[in-house]
Order: sequence, then structure tokens, then C-alpha cells
Amino acid sequence: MITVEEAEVRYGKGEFVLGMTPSPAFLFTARTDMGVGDKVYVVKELEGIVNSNLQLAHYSSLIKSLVITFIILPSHSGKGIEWKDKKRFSRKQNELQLEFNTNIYPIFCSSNKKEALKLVAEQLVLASQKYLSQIKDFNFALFQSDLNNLMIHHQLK
Amino acid sequence: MSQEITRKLAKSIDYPDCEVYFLEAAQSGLYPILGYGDVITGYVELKIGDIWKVGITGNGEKGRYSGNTFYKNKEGSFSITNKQLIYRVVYKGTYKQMIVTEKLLIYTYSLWSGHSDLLKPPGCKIFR
Repeated sequence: MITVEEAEVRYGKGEFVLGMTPSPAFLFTARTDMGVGDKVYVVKELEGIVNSNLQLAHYSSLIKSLVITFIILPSHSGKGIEWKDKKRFSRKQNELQLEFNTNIYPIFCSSNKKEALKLVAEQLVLASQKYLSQIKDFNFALFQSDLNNLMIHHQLK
Repeated sequence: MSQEITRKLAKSIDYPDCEVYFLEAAQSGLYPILGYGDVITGYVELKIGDIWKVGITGNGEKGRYSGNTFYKNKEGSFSITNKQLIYRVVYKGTYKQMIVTEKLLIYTYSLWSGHSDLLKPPGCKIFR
């Protein structure tokens, strides 16, 4: 545990309150259910692979951060609430946020971690094709090619 | 703890479709420790997957947290969103089953979380 005063010394007043290292350019997260368990963390594994090999700045001068939330839930979950895709661009932060409804819940729940990682990687490709291909200030062809090579290299395809 | 659970069970009616959830660190780093009155009493280093908060809801994630924000301080100067935390359902059942589970997890946090220096999950303002 670190006291507020120690945190101020270490991180400076006003900065430490966020309390975290800067977010990576490609940030992946997920909405899941109990069935998924801790396999949800394959999205962070994929995030690490992508950030270690690709630079968002190569594909867009406008988008500084790409946040993708993979929705891995059964279609009837959430008390009748339907989870739909969402796309939002924050001009203040130059951040593109995508919420992508995957249809992989049953297969994801029954998969092992390696298979789960592959499934999420496939969803990343699909989400990119659906949303990033439409963005003017984004070199989708280059991104798709680099992503494809990355998937092959890491045996995610 | 047992007195509190007994009191809580006696006071409440039971209903189905509740869940106990964890808000887990999606990024390694420094997370605030919240105290009574929504004050930050300190900070704790959490690794990816460490649990910041244990909570209960009968409304699912969307009903419990609007948008992607899981915590905003009183001044509104900073917030913790789905960039930093992942909402993960860990148990499902009736309200009474879940309230017992939640209390047990909160009171025993220091024993199972890997953060033995913390008496409760850092994102829980009070034990209740």
C-alpha cells in the first residue's frame, strides 16, 4: 500500500491520480460472463502481441489510441439487454472506441486458452474489416497486411 | 461479519437473477484505495487480473454501470473505465445467496487476494 503523500512524491500531484502507466495505443478489453472465466485475459495477451509488433502511428496520423471492447456474451444475456456494436471517436483524446459484439460465446467457453486466443484474434480481424476499413484517415490495407502477417507469425491463424 | 450477514438477511426479501462480480485490473499499475465518504486513502499496485472491487447487482453490468465508467471521484477530475478494469461475473444466484457470498469475499479479501496488507478490496468504500 502506498499513501497519498508517497504517491504524490513518486508520481507528482495531479498525475498519479490516474495511477497507471499510459495506456497502450492498441487497448483491448472485454465484456464477459461467468462462463468465460479467466480466459478473458487472452484479450490482454493479444493486446501485448499487437502492441509489441504494430505501431498505430504507421496507419493513421489522426487516431492515437484504438480501444476495442470484445463483447463475449450469450445473445440472451443481461436481462433482455441486447449488446450491440458501438463506434465512437473522441476528438479530445483522438481515441477510437469500438465495442464489437462477437458471436463466439459458446465456443469460447468450451475452448482452452490457446484456442480462445485464436478466437479473439479472429474477432480482431473481423472488427477491423467491419470498422477500420471505413475510416478515411486509416491505411487499412497496410494494417490488414501487417495484422495478417502477425497472425501467421504467432500461429493465430 | 456473521451478525451483519444475519441482520442483512433478516431485513431483505429474496429475489432471483443476482450476481456477484469482480472489477479486475486490466492494466498493471497503481489503483486508488477508496474509503468511507468516497475519499482516496492510498494507492495499491495491482497486476493484471488482481481484484479491485467485489460487488453485487441484480441489474447486470449495463444496469449497474452506465457507459464504460466504473468509478468517478466526487470532483469528476478522474475516472476509472473499462480501459483499466474488467467486469467479471463470478457467481450467480438469488439475492440472499449473493449477499452472503459478497460479504464473505469482502471480509476475507486479505486472505485470498494476494494483498494481505489490505483489509478489504481497494474499490469497496466500506465493508457493507
